Amino acid sequence: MDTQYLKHVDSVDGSELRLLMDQYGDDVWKYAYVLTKDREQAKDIAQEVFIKVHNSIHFFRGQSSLKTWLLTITRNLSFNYLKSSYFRRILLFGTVKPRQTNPSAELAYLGKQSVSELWDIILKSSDKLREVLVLDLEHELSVQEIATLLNLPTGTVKSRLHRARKEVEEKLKGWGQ
Amino acid sequence: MNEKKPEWYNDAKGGLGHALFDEQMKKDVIRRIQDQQPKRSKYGFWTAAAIAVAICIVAFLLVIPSLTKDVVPSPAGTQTPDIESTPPTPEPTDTIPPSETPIATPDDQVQLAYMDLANTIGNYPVEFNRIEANRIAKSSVIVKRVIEYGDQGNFLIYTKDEKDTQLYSGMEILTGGQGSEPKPDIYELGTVGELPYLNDIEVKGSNLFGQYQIHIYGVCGANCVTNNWIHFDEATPVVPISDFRLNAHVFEMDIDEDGTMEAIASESSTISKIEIYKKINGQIKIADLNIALNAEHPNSVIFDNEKRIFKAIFPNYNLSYQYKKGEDTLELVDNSQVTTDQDRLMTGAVYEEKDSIESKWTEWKSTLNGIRTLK
Repeated sequence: MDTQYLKHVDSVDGSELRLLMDQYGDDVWKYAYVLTKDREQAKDIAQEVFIKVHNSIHFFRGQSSLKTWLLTITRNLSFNYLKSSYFRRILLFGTVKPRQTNPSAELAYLGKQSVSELWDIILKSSDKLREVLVLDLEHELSVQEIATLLNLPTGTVKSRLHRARKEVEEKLKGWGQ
Repeated sequence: MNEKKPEWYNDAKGGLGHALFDEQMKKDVIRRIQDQQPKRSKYGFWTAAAIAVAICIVAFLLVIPSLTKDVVPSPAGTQTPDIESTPPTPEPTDTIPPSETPIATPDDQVQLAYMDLANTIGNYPVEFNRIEANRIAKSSVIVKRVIEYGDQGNFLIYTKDEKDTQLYSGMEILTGGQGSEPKPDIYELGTVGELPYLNDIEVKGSNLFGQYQIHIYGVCGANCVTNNWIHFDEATPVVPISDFRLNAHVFEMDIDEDGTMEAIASESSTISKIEIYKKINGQIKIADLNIALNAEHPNSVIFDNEKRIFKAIFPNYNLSYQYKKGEDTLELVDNSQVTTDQDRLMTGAVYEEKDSIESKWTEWKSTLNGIRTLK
């Protein structure tokens, strides 16, 4: 779906919103899940994002891609949830249930770990490293898009990405020994 | 980043699953939006009705003057052509070539539209949800710096791990009144930049939005700052509360001279953007000056806090505005259209063919800086 025209519209109808949800729903859910580590909350946040898109599409200026804009909204809503949880409730850590796949040769070399364990490592990284890694790995944003979304210099994004990858690889190697 | 992506990326990608945002969730979104719509259409009807009435009144007022003129039709066959209505032959004039970039006539006044922050989520570097600080043990953190803040206790700047570079700020809890000994716990206030910028952190009093607050400023990168304002409520005494945080450079100023301080935020990345945060009827709202002055990307808006001037910068000209006292309106104060055409130099300078464009530009800037210094 070509979405650039959305920067010129004041509203989206039901069918357009559905197309957006078809195209970006999973991305929004995954990002909310990576940030909150809570499947049910990720579901609520993801729905809230698209309701906000419907109400606020006229604020989309096209300066970033629509995906980056959606993930920015997701991030803000997720952090709102996290902060209220942090201060008032005990946050329950959701367990990762990724699908199983055959590991690549490199993965086999690094310790023949399953994909679920790989994601376990990723989700246990520090917040800042995990966030840039997932935006790069899962959402395939460019460094510039990540920098825009996180309001960081591109140098910082590259640095964190490098550290995040190293951290994951160190842990994978540690398992292989 | 030119670094090749590791192979394990291929295995990890998609590992969280597919079709996670399922059909039921999509239906729920549509249903919730439809539930909102009856209220919207009700207001929409009344808005349309009000507009229709206004149009009728305006049309009526325009029609009345023409009804008072009595025009007597001339008898048939007596009408003669009006010679004077024939337009005169225009005299030849020198052709004036149009300017290469036509400059739109600027508005003398621009009305600012303040928006609800809730409707702008994702577009601005602001957080406005209410956060009550949590108590944590001082022993659980690694204190990097202590900032004294009068009798209200100290602010601690700390990390949570030896390897971590993320800084946090916390407020000591006093055992008794002001000046008493601190307790072993602190109230955690949130992040405040990165460790390399430890000494850039500032804690100072503030009257933002007409309320006594403590403003905590930190730096997180070359062009990255954090601002957190905390205050105290009678309902939750002693507990620091934050309901406004801004990741942009900010000036606190009573820009409209109504007795209450506003926050003027400045963002700069590929362009410069200015937003004003103001409390209206108890709610913090935002005005985007790049939108108001039609200076969105690739144009810029900057703020001169000393002169209290907002300057919209376009390719071939600038427009300067000042906030009108007591109103949410910007007034054009200096229609200075400085051309930066490569073929011509600055107004008032004399171009000598030997001079390079760059050296003349540097010379002009030096002159301008000299004038500013004298002022």
